[in-house]
Amino acid sequence: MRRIWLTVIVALAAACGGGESERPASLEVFGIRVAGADYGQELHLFTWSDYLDPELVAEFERTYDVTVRIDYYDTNEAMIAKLQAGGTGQYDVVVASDYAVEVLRKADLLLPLTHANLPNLKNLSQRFREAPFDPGNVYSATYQWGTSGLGVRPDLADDSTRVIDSWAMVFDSASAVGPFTMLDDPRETIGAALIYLGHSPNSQDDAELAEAERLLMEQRSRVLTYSPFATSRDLLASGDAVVAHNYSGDVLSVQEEVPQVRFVIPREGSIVWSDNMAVPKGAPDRRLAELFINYILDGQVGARLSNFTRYASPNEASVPAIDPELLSDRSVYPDSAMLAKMEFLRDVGEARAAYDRIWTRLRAGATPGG
Amino acid sequence: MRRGRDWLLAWTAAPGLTYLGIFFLVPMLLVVVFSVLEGTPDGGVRPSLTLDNYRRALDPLYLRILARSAWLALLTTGVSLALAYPTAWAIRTGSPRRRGLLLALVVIPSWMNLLIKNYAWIVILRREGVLNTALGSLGLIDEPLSLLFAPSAVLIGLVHTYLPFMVLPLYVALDRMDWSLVEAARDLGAGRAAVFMRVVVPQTLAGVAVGCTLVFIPTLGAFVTPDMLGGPDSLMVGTLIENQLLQVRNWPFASALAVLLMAVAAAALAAVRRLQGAAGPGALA
Repeated sequence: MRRIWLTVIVALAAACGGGESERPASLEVFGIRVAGADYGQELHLFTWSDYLDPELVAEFERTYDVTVRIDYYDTNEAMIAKLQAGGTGQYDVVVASDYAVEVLRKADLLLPLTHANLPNLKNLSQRFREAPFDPGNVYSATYQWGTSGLGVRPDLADDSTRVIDSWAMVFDSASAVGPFTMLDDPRETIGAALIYLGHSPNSQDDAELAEAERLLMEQRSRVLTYSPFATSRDLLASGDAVVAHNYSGDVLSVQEEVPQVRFVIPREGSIVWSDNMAVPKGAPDRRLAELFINYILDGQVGARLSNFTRYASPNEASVPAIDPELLSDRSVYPDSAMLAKMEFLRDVGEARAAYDRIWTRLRAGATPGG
Repeated sequence: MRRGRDWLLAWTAAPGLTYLGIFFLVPMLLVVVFSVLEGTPDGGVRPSLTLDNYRRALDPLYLRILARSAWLALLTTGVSLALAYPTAWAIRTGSPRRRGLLLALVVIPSWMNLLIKNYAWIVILRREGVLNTALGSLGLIDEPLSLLFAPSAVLIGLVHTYLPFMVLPLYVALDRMDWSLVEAARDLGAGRAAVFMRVVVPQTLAGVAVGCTLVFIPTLGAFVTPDMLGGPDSLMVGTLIENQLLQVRNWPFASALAVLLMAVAAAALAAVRRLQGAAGPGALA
């Protein structure tokens, strides 16, 4: 009897603590040599949902003998608020969009990246090494990039020949092709209205913002609902929405389930964005954080990531391994003429209050200026 | 001797009071303090006192959102009461052996996660959803009904969530009621309606008050259900506060709105107390 218990205990000990003995004194993978004693047991990651292939997580865990714990957010603002409210010490890596990197940097919430620990940083294409929100990758390294636009179900449209590459499908009642959703995100939705009117999505001009507000107020009664990106994806898949304002990859990932789904970048232009990995101040394990960032920047890993998320990769070394269908899709990798019409969202500073007022009036069912 | 017992009481109450002090009173005071500070554009606060946040919260735009939330909470409470009273009555007057089973059936749905309940309603109510498909195949409708993303969907979702909180206090009130008074009233010639209105209702008012409080207060600040099931102009005060906290990062204004919301909730509680008072001390037993 005692022997049986002993066996059980030994087996349990092996199952629980076995990992520690497996970690080598030193290992060299993904272009970097690191001592097993230099980093801890757990990586805490704060990111968008459905944004990381579980197989890549498992591989990282096996390679470095660590556990990855992931927390999710669904708007940049919620992520910033959590970090600002003292959440910085809880995460090793945060994924933040372009303008959010700017806000976090201004709020002094980020640690500079140790470039010596990130040999794969060289894989980033020029555009992302000199990005306007963080030139020279001082604080951030791009994870994925994409655009926002319109997901469409031509198979369910009132008249499929009237499906066009224009924001008119949601802003002009005469061009509507069926029920549609807009993103429950003030910057994206007010930005789309500004672009349709021929203005910058970063406008701080009172007259332009008032014009966008009138357009959105007029549009409101026809909107099925303002929904977060994950809900928009579901509503497009289920056919409740025929047109859905959403991010490129979240629309394209519906194709697996419903092949008829199309993503269009409106000809008026749209918002281009990037999500970037950064290390918050007070990160419990900076070394492990940088191992993770360097791992994601690996060419093969970056390609597998894009093949999973259906978003464009900022990683030049990953191009050969990316699904050719994805690579040739102009709605994922827009051509230079289209890119010229696309803008990154920037922090609008003092005008944030104006965006908030428009959004609250819109969602409260108020009348313009009321 | 008396002194000793007082001491004992104080000691047994201490853990609870400490807990409430740290996790209820302190955060509440923080909210009040934040509400009179001045916010900065980058999401921080300046240590200067101001009433601007309250002035802004009293703007018709925000008052209308508050009024709509109060109306929705009232409607949810009313519908829940109308559904729960007959349910509680049926459970109490039915066979005692089945009582446990029926009560369990009321309680078990409240174990389910709120998000799952709301998602279930999305699946049921949407255009190609369970309800529209069923009605369509029965030939009752030609065109699918637009049920989801409307105020009625929010009401259905909230009633579903909070109904158990109404049924249980009503059941307890009915169970504790002095049923011999019902017999006495019948013997003295009162009709069914008169027995119900003059004997049963006054004795269960305390349960009604508790049930209404348990439903009204949380629905007033609800934001998950209106967000998921509501339409384009379904902004409720709970979502507004969440937006100000997380999206706009204007903590002082969010705090002022929260204080205003607490004031409305306190006013509702006071109204309920009056209702209890009107029922007389006997009804509180």
